[in-house]
Amino acid sequence: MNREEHKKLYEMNRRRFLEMTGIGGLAVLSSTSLFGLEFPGLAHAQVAGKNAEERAINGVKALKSKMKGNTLNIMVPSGGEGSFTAAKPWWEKATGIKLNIVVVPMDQIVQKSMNLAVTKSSDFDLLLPSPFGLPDLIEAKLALDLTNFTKKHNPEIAGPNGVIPPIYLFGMYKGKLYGLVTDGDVNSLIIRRDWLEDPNNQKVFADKFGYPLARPVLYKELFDQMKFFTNREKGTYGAWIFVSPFYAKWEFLQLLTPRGVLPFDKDMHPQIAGAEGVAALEEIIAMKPYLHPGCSTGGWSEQYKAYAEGNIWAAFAWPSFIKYMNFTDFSKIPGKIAVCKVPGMKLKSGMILRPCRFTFSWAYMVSRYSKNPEITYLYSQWMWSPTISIKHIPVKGGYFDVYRYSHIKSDELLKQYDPHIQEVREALTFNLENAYPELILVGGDEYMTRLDENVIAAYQGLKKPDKALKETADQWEEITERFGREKQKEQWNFLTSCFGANLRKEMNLPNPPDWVEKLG
Amino acid sequence: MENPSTAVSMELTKKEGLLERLGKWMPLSLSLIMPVEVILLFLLIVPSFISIWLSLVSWQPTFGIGIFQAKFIGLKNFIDLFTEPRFLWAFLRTFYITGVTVSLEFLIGLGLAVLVYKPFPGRTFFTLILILPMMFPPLVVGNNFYMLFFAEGPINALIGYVLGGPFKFDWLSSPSYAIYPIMIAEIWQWYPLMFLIMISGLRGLPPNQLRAAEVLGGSPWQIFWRIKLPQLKPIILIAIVIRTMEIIKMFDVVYIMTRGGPGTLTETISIYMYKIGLKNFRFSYISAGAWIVLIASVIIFTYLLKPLLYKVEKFEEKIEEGAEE
Repeated sequence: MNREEHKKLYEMNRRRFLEMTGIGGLAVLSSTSLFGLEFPGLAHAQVAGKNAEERAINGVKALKSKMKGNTLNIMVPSGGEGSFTAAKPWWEKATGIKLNIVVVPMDQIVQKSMNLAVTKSSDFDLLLPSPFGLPDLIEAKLALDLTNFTKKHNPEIAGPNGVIPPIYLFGMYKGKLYGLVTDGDVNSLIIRRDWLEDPNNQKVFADKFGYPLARPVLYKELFDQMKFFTNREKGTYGAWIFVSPFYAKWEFLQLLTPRGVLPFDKDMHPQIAGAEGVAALEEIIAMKPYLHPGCSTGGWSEQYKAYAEGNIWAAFAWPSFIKYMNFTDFSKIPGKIAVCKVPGMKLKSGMILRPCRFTFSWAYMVSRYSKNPEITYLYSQWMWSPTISIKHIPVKGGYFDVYRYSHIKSDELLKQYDPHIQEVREALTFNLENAYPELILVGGDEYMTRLDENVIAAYQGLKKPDKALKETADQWEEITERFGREKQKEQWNFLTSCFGANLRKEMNLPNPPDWVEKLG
Repeated sequence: MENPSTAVSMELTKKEGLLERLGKWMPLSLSLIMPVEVILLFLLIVPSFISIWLSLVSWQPTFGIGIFQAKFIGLKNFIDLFTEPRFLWAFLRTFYITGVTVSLEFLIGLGLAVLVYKPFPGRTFFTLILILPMMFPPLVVGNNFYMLFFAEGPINALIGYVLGGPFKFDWLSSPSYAIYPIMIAEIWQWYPLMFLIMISGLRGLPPNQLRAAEVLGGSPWQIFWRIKLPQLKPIILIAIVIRTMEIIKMFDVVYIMTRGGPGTLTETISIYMYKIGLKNFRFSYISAGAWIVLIASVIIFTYLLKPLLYKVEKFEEKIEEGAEE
């Protein structure tokens, strides 16, 4: 080509410069506008904010213009509404979004949630089932997978103010997050401090059993103490151990797990009917003479009332129990309880395994049919955040208990449980970190109910322990086959990674997914 | 060319004919209640058909599929139920409780009706007190009796006082005795219904026959046994049927007091269906159970009402014969 042709093709002139600038400008503008679009599977940059609370509010502000309606409908369990009603004005002021809080009986929340799944109703945006009910609601296609929202908005699951592991794992199903577990319902051992410190008790106990009276480390020590403190003529009892409908199953698993035995093996075949299971059930039966008479019929409220009368040595109870025993208008023994780490059993290796049951609890679950799923998630992140949760947990009329490290570090919060703050801190931290989950499986309630019925039948002498557990195992096999063994295996093998770190190490269990820790 | 006015008048005539024909076929009274009937039928028939479908398939919401995508299994749910000891025991237990409580409620209700039948000072107030238990919601009754029979409750305290020592028997977790507090609670709450029905029946008896019997020297027992009771038979039958229908459905009292425990030893059909259907979400299985209970109930009530229906038929025949004559 000649010089003139080359000049036309390559030389910059004013027109070309303006053309190029215009094209470049358009390219920049269009590429920045693409960040506002949602591309499935595309990793999101985290929303700005110095903490989970701020990120939730900023997230809501960014989405509010696209919100359908201006109200979130929330289903909460009865007894827990205090936290929601207290936090409601703070949320409405920060976001302008209204909340409609609907209270349902706490033992029916899973059933009522299932109604929404069957009818595919969008009546509720947020529900609070117990973690054991989550798999049923997930498989019924009601629960929304919150994994991507969590990665986008970072609710501070890990970190110095994070949720005490393994608690948050109980809201997961096959590695994905469906529920934000918002209640630290670990069952600590409570004993009578004044009876423990009484010099006469100490002397007589040591003379009788050959070792000092102290906070029990092993279950054998607890059983000896129960025998020691039982005097039916005087109306004092060794313990309140639940052997009533709905509760008995937990006591059985509490005595099976420290033996290093899980309810199922890797292929979902029950292991409860083996020698360890039978021994655990026989121990419950052997406790009968030392238990309060109400144990075989009473639930948690009867336990609280009976213990508050001041004539029982020990109980395994939820954290709210500690508060109630220190309420002067409820309890005859304020200031007289000691909160302990749960005892355990010595394994063949010589290690003492001290798993702590984590029962019931509640988890924020976003409905798949919600018209504003991300905003609903952000509300639950806001409620779950360290800065907001520390304010609504102590509210009267609520019953959520501590579940974050930031809660445990707060003297102000722990003072509301018991004046012996450091003791409560150490015991709750230990018990939470050594927690194990219920059977968080599809049909979990069915498995647990069959176990419950057979444990009670054995306790009442209607069946021999080995027969009761064999029947339970057979019923569990039938349930597993009905739901599909492979499906149940997948969740069960994930669930074994949800035990506390110490327990996983001692019992050779797998580790959970690490994406949560990576969130920071 | 056709006359347009003739064509229009023929068109009008045609429309009137259709309306007239419809009006003749469906009287006005029927057409007024038809919309409500359609709605009611829809609320009854459609759920019934869905229930029948559910009983013939294997479906739970946790399967993640629609009801009509469920696998058809025929009568398997029914067969499983008939071979499920827990269901059969719940079934038999329900009828056992029904038999005992209805009998005792009837005897108490009839006895009190006979006592209160003749006037005495304070009869109105006494009658009001007698029917008070029926006013309470079943949940409240269940809760109250739960507390009464608690191991450290007032019943045991009373027994201990009589025996002269502490008595802490665990009624509600006793395999042999847990069912009796439940029956006592039911009897306490519903004897007033029997009482009201019986006293209405007694007051409806023809007074001439009773006076004649008194004049002729019949004793109160003879009058009751030979005259009053036979004439009360239809009323008694109706009372028993009403009460039986209600007790078969009993739930609140059992749930509050024992939740079907210890184990499953006080489980009634309703409790069983609640646990399996609404807690374990086995809707197909429970639909089959519901149909079994319905069919069994229809057979029982038909048998119970047979003497009454036979009497009504005979009475109607007599009226027709009299009319013909």
